[in-house]
Amino acid sequence: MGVLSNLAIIAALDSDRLRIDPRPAPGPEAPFSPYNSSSVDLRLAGDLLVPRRDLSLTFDLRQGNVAETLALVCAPLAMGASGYLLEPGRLVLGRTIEKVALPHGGALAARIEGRSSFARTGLLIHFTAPTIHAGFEGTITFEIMNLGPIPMTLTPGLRLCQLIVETVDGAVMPAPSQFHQQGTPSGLRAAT
Amino acid sequence: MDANGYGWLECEVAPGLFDTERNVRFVVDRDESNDEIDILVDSGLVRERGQVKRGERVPGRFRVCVVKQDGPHAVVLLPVQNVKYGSYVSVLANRLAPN
Repeated sequence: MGVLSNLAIIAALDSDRLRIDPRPAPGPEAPFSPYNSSSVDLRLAGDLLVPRRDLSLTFDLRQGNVAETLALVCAPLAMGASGYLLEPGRLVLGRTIEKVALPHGGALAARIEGRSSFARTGLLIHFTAPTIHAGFEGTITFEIMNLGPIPMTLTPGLRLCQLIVETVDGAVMPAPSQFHQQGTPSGLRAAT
Repeated sequence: MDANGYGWLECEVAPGLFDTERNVRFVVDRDESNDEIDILVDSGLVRERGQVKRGERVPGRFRVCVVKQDGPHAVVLLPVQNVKYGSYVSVLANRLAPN
């Protein structure tokens, strides 16, 4: 298992083993590129979910319907251009602008990590759940928390995280090869 | 399932937390006691019959990867993990459609 370099990430995008929509641009040869040497930055979308504190609910983690309870607890909030002020100790949920897909058969997985400068301010963008499994398709959810001493402003389009892409050793069940000749990355694209 | 191994599993669809996702609720087939669980899935992987509104559920289907089918039972790989059962669950095969 190895981490993809920026050129390997671009090659994976070109061959459809990895999809990021909209595709990050410009490439690493240009200034202000979202590509780092072995990751690519993704951006914060303008919609946040702010957990309410006025409810007397309990998450029963034994149950399989946490998503339903979450919908009751989180209030949607659209950030304006001026952004959202995240107070110390507060948690909000956000998502990437980009939709990421790791098709079965692509033999890739990924994870998101924060960015070091943000980390020094006390900003967490995820905790305990950075992994994006092979087969995933969708935007990536951030668990954003301010652990620092002062408020910080989140704004739409902020390059909040870096996506690190890794190869997966071995076959994943179900392996696309068991599904006829169309189990190639391009064949999977046709199915979506 | 289709030529790529995907099938569409019957579910009830509600809005997700974000506009880009849906909350799908479906029944797993486990030890004679069916259990209803939900996951948050990208909206591109969900087909709903009707308009999805807050506080309401409409019938629909979402895309799963079919691992194996054995008579009336099928094992599917979910697009995201469920907190209780993980990624691979058993469902009734008659709740799966090829497209």
